[in-house]
Amino acid sequence: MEKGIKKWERFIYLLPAITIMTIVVLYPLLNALYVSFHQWDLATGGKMFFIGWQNYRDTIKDVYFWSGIGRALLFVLMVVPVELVLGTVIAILLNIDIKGQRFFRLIFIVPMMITPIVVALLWRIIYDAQFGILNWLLSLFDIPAQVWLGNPQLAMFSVAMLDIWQNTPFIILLVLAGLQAIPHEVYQAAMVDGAGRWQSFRFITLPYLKNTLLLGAIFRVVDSFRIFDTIFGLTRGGPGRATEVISIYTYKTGFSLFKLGLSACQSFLLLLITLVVTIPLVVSILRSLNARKAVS
Amino acid sequence: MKRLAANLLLIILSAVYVFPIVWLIMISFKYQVDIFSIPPKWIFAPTLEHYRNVFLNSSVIDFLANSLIIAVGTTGLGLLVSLLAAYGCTHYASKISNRFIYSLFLLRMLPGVAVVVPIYLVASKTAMLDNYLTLILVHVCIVLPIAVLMLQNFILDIPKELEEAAMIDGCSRFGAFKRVVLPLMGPGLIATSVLSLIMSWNEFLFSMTLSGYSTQTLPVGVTAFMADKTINWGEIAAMGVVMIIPVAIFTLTVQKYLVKGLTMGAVKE
Repeated sequence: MEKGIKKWERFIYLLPAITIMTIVVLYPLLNALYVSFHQWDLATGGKMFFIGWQNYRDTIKDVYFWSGIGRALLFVLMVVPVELVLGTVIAILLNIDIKGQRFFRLIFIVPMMITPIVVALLWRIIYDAQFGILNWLLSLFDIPAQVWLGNPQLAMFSVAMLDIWQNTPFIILLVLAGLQAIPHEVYQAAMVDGAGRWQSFRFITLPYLKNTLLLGAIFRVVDSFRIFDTIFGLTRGGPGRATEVISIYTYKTGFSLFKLGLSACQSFLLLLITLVVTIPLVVSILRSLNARKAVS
Repeated sequence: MKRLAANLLLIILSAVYVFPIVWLIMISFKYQVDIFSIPPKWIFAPTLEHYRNVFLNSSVIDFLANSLIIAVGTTGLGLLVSLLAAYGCTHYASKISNRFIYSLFLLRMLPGVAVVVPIYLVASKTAMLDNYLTLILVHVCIVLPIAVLMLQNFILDIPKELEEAAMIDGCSRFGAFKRVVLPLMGPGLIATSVLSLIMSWNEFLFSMTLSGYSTQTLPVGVTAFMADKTINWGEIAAMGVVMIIPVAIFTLTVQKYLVKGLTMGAVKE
């Protein structure tokens, strides 16, 4: 089959995609690498001059850069485990044969696809300290009103709640797909052998779901680490720096301080850190993909 | 009994889940006085005032038009480019195409903030800021990983024998793809288009930084409204609802393919 194909023909179909990726991503990154060795402040004149490794030294010593990374990691730890557990529970409930099953599924899907910035403004209205519905609801249970977004101790938690609301559906969908792939016979066999509900969950459902959950975790870890839109819409990193995750901090360096050289350097370090973490994850996804192709 | 308990639990959970959206819709129909009343009013005299204000505001109409132009442009160009790439990867699997797929996954995982300053630098140097084409190209890159992998999956679903039969009948390889495979991929093409429309419609970071006065999209515009000192919740809620409706409708139409698309084909339903 493959004999008559010229070499260029293998490549030509990929060419448009590769061209666009080069223009939009690769070339700007190389250009930024060059810029990152220069001082270039738009706020003070805007001339670019070479300063060697200075930006890199500054960034590595920059407390706020690392606390931004720390906050992003903390955020990942706050949301991903909750989303995995809650998503699995809801998916199992949705998988039970009950009336209106399809309707319930729809309800849980929509939040995931809504514009993140709209989600942020929606929750700002809910969280509002004075007129927000959340404080009113809590007042019914005699819980005092909270300044959800203005209190540095609470702000991260408030952002996390929003993220859990929006992104648990992704896990629900994944787990539902995973549950449907488990053959019924396995459960029947287990029942014949006298396994209870918990045992069949522990020894059949969970092992079958292991890869699905792992995959969901990978996507959620990557996406919550780079979260930008919803935090920008809710708090812009505030109050103070309470919710200033790394993407907000890097954004501010570039677009409100206008230190272009420094922010190019920060972009680059962020990229490196992400690649170091992501490449093994991507390899593991691709391996499981290829394994699946070999089976089917 | 257990079924009843599960049912009850689901009703409670989904009520909690859907509440924020219902609340937004309610606010968008309330008069200003009712919006700020405590305890909140569950039954109120509805008004279309906020929607009227939103649609009479000429800048909102501009945002809407920009969002549509960019989303449609992204989907058109993205679909064409992804379809070619997906075809190439499926039929001419090679080292290059494997590396290509690998780089698509990396692109999917890249933090937007790590590339937004680099892209901004190049765009400003080449006078491409505030330009539809720039935003469309950037959005295509965001859509590309998911679109290529999704389309590749759909191509693989179609029996190879069909294509081979067409080739025996004298079609070229690409001709067979065009005449036989493509028409069978209808649902796949629609699902991929809808997903890329939604992704472009929702995108915020690049639309904010690379757009200017004449290319601002809805998410950028609504954020600017929100930053105003005199916050008008009614109008903001109305804008939010206007942005949610198309996404909700589209999402429901591609429900079946969401998992496959969002996990880039790693999970099949």
